Amino acid sequence: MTQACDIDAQAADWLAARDGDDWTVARQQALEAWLAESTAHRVAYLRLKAAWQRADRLQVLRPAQAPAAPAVPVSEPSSELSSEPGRATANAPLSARWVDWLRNWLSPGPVAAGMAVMAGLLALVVGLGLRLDAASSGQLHATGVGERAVLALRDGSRLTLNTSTRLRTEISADQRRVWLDAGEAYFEVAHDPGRPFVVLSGNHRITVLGTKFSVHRDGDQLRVLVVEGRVELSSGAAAATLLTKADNALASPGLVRLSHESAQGLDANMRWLEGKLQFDGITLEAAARQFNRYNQKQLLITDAEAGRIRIGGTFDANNVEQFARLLHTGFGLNVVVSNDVIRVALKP
Amino acid sequence: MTDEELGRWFVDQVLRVEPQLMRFLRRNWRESDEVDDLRQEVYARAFDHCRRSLPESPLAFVLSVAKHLLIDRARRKQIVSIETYADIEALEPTVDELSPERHQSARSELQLLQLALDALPERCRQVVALRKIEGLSQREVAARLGITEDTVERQVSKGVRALAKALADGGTAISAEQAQASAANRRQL
Repeated sequence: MTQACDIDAQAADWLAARDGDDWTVARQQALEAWLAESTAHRVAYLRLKAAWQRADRLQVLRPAQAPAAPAVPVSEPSSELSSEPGRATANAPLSARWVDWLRNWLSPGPVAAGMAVMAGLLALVVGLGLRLDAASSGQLHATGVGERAVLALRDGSRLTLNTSTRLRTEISADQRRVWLDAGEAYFEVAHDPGRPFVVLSGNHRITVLGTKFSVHRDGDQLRVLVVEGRVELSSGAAAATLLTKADNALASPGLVRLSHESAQGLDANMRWLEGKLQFDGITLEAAARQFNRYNQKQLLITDAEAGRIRIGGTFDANNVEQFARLLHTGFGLNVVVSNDVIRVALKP
Repeated sequence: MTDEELGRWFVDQVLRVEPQLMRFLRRNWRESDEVDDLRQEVYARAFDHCRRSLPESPLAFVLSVAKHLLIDRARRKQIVSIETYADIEALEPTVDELSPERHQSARSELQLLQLALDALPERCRQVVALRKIEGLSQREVAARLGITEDTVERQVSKGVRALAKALADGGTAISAEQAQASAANRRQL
């Protein structure tokens, strides 16, 4: 065993212990003593800790109605779910393995765990399994925080996924469907009158023939911005709304609010395609919300007065530190950076 | 700066370029089983240096620390042929190593993690998946799998090392092989 290997093993043991549920002051002191023994110890520990934290990103693979809590009712499948065959993410390169894994693990595995927990989990997996077999073409695509990805579909359409986005696609001979489960995407839809292109998100539905538009889902609200052509938006049982170029629709259940963007406004809204955020005199509060979609490190405006400051300009969406520095140098705000949060206030 | 602050800076700025460092070490050092040792030594030296002053460009700094370490090691080996020595004097980072984006964009972080997770041994993978995808605590993982917390802890220890290695090697495994081949070629010239 090489020396590095040995130190790595010890560092990993410390990290695993620290990650557990029985961490005590005495053990913390022992860890600190071990870290202080040599720089090699410290850097090995830092390195593993960073990797372990990065692995938190895996949580985006959690199935939409995940059994994080065992309280999943046995008769779970709702009408909304069953109308979304791709939910089980059959061909998905990422989460299909997770589903497979759950199945493998459940079938022969050591099912010694509490049966109450198992019941909830089984209900979920059976539900997934059925839908998995029913329609195997729903394909999952996901981006993590701060990531952006371009997706070329079989029909020639192109999708750009913004930060923290999860969607599924199903392109068949007679229809094209996309389920936007979370996040934001820009659609450049190839013209094909024989095969409507439908975007489903919660109880909203967007129908298009061939056009460019952007959709952002935030809970049960949906924002649709049309860059080119026309789309039809319907929410729940409400009558469909026809949207044309530069229309900006905010749909909440049963209500669609419509505004019209200027050419510059349209541009500004689409800057995320280049990884930029462009603000035109919006409040710092609103700007922080935007940045927080793109970064693990969250921007926290700690007093209301600072939150009302108006911000304009173009920024790198992933560079929240740079933005925070600007708040300090440009606005004289008090900025305190810690591991996963940047606190901004008017005064120290 | 306290050790804790320095540690955070180190993670953000220095550990971030581990793929480039590993590529550099593999390209310039023949004994591939010594590369992990070298990596650790580079980090220890770099950290101690950073206690005194922070470098402007972490990537150039790390590669320069690595270069000096390789020279030291080669000298100590005392079996240095003229050609190896010449080779080591020419240890300048290539454009490839100095451009982080090119390789990081090749595979997204999520894909890297997923591949690393899939490569873990079965039990270890179950534990890491429940801990990181489901967000269960170690105790909850133990209950779910019907194993002891000690076992979970051991699997976490194993898993974190494999993940760290995969993240560092990720997407560069092929280019590392190519680099070794090209380093070997250069030596034969």
